[in-house]
Amino acid sequence: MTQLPDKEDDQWLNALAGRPDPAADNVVNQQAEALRRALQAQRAKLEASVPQANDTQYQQLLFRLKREGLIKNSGPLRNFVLWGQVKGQQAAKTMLASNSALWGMAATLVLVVGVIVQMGGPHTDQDVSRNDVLRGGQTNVMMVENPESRLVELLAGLKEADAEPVVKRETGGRILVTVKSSDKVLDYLREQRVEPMVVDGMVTLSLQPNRR
Amino acid sequence: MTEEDIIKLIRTGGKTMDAGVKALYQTTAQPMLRFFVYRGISSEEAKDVLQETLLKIVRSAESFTGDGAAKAWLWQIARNCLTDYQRKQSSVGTHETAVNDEQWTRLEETTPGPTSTEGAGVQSVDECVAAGLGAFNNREPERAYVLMLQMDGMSIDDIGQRIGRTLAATKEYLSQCKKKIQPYIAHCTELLAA
Repeated sequence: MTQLPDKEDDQWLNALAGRPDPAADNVVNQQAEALRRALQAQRAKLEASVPQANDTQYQQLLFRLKREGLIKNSGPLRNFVLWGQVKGQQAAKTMLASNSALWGMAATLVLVVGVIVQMGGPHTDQDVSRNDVLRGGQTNVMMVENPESRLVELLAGLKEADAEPVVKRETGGRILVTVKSSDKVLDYLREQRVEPMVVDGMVTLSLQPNRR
Repeated sequence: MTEEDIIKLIRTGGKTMDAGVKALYQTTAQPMLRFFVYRGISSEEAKDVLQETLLKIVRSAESFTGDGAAKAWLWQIARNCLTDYQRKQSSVGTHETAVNDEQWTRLEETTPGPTSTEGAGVQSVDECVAAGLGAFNNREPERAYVLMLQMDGMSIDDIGQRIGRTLAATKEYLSQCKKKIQPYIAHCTELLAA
């Protein structure tokens, strides 16, 4: 390796990239090529561990973005509701025009499906909790083994996040924790595997005993 | 669609934002997952860090000023999220001490070098280099990652965006990588003649 350092570096790096310079020192090329083989072998091992970016992960991302109020509901479920409404209206118009019993049944069916979906429909949200069971809605319902001990943990964490949570105890062992949303609060809750629903700048957690 | 276009879509909001988020995912998810795994975290952890990264990008899209490349900005967020994650996972954060360049050089000079594989029995050149690369990877994961990008034939500009350096600084960094890996593999060259 007797070339000028810059030139030798370039030759070595080019050989590493699979473009050896025939004019380069043999040792430079051979070392870079041996390293190239080692890196390729290492990459083959690592590639086996690289997860594929798929639709499930994308839906999870959308779910979290919705939970944080960053995007509005416009997913497949909403589209299906809109589709139901549009098709129902079209079918109803056709029914009136043709007075056909078959079209009447079809229109009824489509409308019923649309209404069922709007009433709640199949739940598509992902359960992001590992320990607690989360339920959706305006309040984040957490089904926990011991609401009081979970409350102590949450209050300590929220205090660390500079928050001032308000605690309200209700019948049946239910505890409501209301806290002003902030980046720190949301970060803390995410660390706790809670995906908070922010409503008017507030997050409400409902701790409920997990009776099995 | 460029990264600038994607950020513009996200900033617009509404249905346009949905398209932006989709494009963001399609463009960045796979290379970022690869980046996280190559930088030493597990497959499951990489998914978590990816989600944090994309959330942060969407949250911060409003603050993107347009100065500098959008792609570099996206990768900056990915690196920050990975660093945050790794810091949280290891408790070393509380034991860290800031050192300047001079102190770092002194530390390097006084720290024992990598364990030589010489005398560990006859090895082929490839085995010797692979062992050296393994040790280098443990000690200098970012440099090993950059060498892998170079091995892939990635442009200096793209490598710079991944590691948050300018073109000139990336060239210098690559030269340093070559120098830094030498103590781990230079002795293997003795086997080249064999």
